Amino acid sequence: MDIIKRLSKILDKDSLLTKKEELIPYSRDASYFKGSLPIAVAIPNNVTELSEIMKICYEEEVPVYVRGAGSSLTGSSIPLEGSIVISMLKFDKILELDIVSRYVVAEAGVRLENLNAYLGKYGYFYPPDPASSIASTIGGTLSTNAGGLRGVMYGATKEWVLGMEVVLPNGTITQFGGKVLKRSLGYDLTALMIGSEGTLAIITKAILKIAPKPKFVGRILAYYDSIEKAGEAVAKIKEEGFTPLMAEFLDRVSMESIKKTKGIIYPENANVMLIIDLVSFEEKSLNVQLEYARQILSSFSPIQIKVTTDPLEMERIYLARKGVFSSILLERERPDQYMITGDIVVPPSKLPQTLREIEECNKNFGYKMSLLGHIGDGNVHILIFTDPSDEKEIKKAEDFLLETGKISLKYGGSVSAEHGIGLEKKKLLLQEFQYKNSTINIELMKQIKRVFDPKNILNRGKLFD
Amino acid sequence: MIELIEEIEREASKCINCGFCDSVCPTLPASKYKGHISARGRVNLANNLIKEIKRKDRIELRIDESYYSCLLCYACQEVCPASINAGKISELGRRLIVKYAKNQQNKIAKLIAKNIMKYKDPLGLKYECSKWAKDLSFDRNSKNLLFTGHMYQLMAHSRRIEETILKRKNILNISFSLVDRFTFLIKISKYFYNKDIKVEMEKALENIVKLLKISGIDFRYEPDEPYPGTLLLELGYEEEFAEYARSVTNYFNEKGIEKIIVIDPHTFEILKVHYPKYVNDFNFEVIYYLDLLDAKQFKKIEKEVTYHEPCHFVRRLNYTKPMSLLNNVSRLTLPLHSGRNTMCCGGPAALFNKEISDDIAERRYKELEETKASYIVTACPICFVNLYKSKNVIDLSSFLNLTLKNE
Repeated sequence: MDIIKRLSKILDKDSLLTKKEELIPYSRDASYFKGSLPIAVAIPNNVTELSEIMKICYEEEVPVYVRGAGSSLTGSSIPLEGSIVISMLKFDKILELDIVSRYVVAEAGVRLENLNAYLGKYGYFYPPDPASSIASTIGGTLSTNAGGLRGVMYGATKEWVLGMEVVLPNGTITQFGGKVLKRSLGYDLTALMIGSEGTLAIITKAILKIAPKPKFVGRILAYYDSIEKAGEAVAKIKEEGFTPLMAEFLDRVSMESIKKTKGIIYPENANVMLIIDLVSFEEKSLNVQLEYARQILSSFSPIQIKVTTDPLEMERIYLARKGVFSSILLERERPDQYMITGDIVVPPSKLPQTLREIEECNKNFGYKMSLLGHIGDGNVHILIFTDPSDEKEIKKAEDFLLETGKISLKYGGSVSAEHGIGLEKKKLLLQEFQYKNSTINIELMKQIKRVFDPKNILNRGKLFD
Repeated sequence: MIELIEEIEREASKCINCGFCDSVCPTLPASKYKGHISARGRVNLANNLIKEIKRKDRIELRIDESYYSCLLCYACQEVCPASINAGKISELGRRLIVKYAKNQQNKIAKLIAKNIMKYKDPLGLKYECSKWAKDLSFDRNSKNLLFTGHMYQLMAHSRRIEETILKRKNILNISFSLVDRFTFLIKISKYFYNKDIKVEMEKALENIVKLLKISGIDFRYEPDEPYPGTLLLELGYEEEFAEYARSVTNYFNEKGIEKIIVIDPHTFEILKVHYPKYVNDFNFEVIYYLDLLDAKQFKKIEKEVTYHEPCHFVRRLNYTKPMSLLNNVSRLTLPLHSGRNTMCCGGPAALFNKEISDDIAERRYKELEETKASYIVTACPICFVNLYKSKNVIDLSSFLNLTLKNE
């Protein structure tokens, strides 16, 4: 039987889209890749419907691409061929909160900011905060092991997932993990799912750890004329035992863009802006910490240094940092240019040298480039513009990503910190394993994929071929 | 078509598909998460439409459902890294449909446009809309004109029509065929009104008059006032709007007035922002009634109040007078989505898609209810009607009336 006929027997008309205008939005995500129009889009109402959909697709061997917000930067949500797209957005409920046990249970389609708006009422939050948190969903962020600005203190998504419910490619519903912090039950299938980008199973709900919201937060803004000084300053901060809530850096290109769009003025001869947040449950203690940190940062000859606990001023700076991407977008020469975001990570102690080499590497490519990111955990975002309709331009960008990937590997880092692999970084993934003489890892991953999805219907073409 | 396409392309081509706009677009969850009934989907369709037109020189892609479902609330632009306004794209898309894809034209939109041009009112109720003022006195010699734009008065009728006719497809189809054929039948809508809402809306109008008079403002009201034509522009009838705006401007000129006092956000915007673009000699001062009130007339009352800010005030006009007034007279608690992130009430979707409109209204009402305020204050008649789910929903004018020092 025709797959659409079969699906229409289990889904109401609002839950199965087949017209061209209905399908168009599902062929793209936040990357520059253009996918194919799916055969249909299914928007299941609950896990039972989802399971039935997967049984049908598994029997018919029809590829399935699952999406939440479709905000992947690497093409992870892109449907590649005659396929069914499954949207998980109806899974938008927060199901259970247990403050004493420090977890929340939420469905895969819940957006991170909505989750935190809910948790905020109780004085708690879920720490992973990718820049896309307004849009990105729990399912998507678990699937890519998303990071964010708070990563230096709280780590990435994998540190915050206790368990989940999933639907396997053949439609079987099962649970991984649970509600407790400790568990010793053989292979950690929960951990296996994190970063698997929808290639093994479909997450329907997750049990997430939560943390109390920091009561008092203070911010230090420091400007330096070189990344080396900024890097050494941050290294010293950490050496002295500080764990910042946030430790970000912006280069001159990004500082210039936020000056234009957000009015954040920077000193004339500054080349690097550091933003460091410290937290405490007690105000006096915070002030002591801030002063001590300020002294440390001052010992590396900043051009300017400022400490603030004013919520409005801090909000302004935070929004400017979070809005760097959009500020830099305005620098596009043409409106249809795309911004590619490299996402390498190195041990923080190696960051200054890494950045110098990236700048050197760019001399061969000639991009107008911005470097910014999470100096606290060594994660650099390399922003360049490209024309996605020009194959030569795409090839050049790919080569650039490979070269900068090599630099990160040279310094003991990784080619993908928090954006995942998707389509964009498949070569980079291979590159990393080759560099580390660990190409067996790809084979291991493929075999695991075969166990979960012997017919290779889930998110085909992503991560590896 | 080229100019329109170029304008759409200028806006839509900037899109980087991040999906941020989807997260704030009220129509996405209300449509049960259909991607094309959402901000990003509207931009995606625009980009595909442009390619199609360049290739085939005609419109085949169905864009009607996507663009007519847009609330034009502009929440999308607020969060877009590229500052794209999917609402603007929807407005342009509707113009494209009206001129170049008539087969996709919404029938109700077409009928409303016809009524406005013929009867100077979307429901043919021009004179009905003046009855609220029959026992009130005004200063006939004043150069200041109180211009209601029919908005408050129409709400009771549009709500009743939504409840009885729009919701039922078979009745809608029959009614529509009849009215389309015999246009004068639209005047029967005068008998369709929600009594409760009529009372509240007329109370609000009377309170506005009272507040202005107490503040010592002289003004007159003309019972033959026309509807300002807002829906013509919003529904894509741009040429008709230009012609209509000309006729309304002539009307104002004939009345010999200098200042137009408006009382709802939509009329405020259409006269202040759009009329000057379409009419050369629109030389009147357009002022919102709240700006004329004497703040000394009000006292602070010990009531918890929450405020549903109209999209048009906050995002389109940057007008915050209601907020400052409410802060002075009450204990104000704002809902989750407020300020520039205010959430639309869903009202603009009611004409074409009652289900979506009701869903959005329900969500917004829940947010307002969660503040546990004694009053939910609205400052737009469309917002009032869509959020009127309990007796503690009150128009700003009626609430201010409660805070008058002499009351």
